[in-house]
Amino acid sequence: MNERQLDELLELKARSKPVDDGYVSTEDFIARFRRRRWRRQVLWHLAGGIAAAGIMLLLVQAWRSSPGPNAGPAAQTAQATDDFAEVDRLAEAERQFGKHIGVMFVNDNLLLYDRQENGKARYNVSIQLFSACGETLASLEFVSPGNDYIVLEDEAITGRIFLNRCDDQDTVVELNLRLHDTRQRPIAVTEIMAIEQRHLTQNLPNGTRLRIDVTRRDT
Amino acid sequence: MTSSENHEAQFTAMIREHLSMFRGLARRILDKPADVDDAVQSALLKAWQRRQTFREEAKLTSWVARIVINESYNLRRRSQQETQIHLDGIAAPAPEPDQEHALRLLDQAISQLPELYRQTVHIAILGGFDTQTAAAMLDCSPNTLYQRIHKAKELLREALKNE
Repeated sequence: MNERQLDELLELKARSKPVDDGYVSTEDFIARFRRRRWRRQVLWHLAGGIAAAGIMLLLVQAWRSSPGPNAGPAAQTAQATDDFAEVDRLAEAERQFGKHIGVMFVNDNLLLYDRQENGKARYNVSIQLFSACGETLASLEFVSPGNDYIVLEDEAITGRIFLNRCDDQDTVVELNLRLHDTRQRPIAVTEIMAIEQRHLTQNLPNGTRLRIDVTRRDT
Repeated sequence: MTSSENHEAQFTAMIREHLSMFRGLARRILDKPADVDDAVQSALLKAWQRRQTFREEAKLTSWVARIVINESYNLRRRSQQETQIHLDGIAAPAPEPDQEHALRLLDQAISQLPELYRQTVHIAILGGFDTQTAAAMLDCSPNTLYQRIHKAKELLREALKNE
């Protein structure tokens, strides 16, 4: 197909709008939107409660099986397993909420967001910000299929994280974050990286440092 | 007026003013009015969740317009999967007229474009908006928009080269 033929076809497509009837009135549409919003709010509160209870249960289990100060090597192995379970809290939260809802830990607080697509999560993404003396200012962890738009409104950090798959191979991570350092000076983080780059360490103003780690999930 | 009431008023005003435009974008992807409204409702619900981040009404409207396109494709994909299940085992449909066939192939090619170019096609080429409006809706400069249109058409020609 040449350029002219494509333009003609696009023109045809632009003109071939289906008939503009069969729609509810604007006021009915608004009323329906309010009802859906309310139902969704109730569901999210319920889901949040269930997830919080589930994660609390896991933490209690981990705490109960943790070894005492004089524990031997076997107990230390058990401790290591528990540590792993704790690190994998993202997987647990993901399992609880399913693939339609994005899960993220922002400084250990669970945050839920709408997925842009319902694909299987392909990447584990960890974003950390450190102060000049190495103290963690913010820590963000989430799993993504490679197409996500996350809005943060946490007390400690606000802004947006945008993952956009440009084609089958390339996914771009775009950060636009705002937070404060230990002396309450504002820090703005605006970075773009290709996800296949895997790691990024960047020095920011006021001696702060950004570190991004991406792990591709094999399964 | 509380913040929540402000947002309520902002959303109601946006729906009253732009519902027809949102429906217009979804209508080029979906056939049934009920599906069109479903896609617009889903996009508005997503926008409602992020209402705190949009200070300007124009940015919110542009963002909803882009999400309407994504939601419409999600809905279409789901309904195609369901249709496929129902059609399994039924005889092949009668051949389509040439024009309809070409439009169907074009639809398919657009749906397979990367999201950025898909939105460019729907807003800048099919949407009937002027360049400034389309660029603002896609959150880019007019120059970038021209480049994206060029690239989108190149990708479409590539996808349709054997047709």
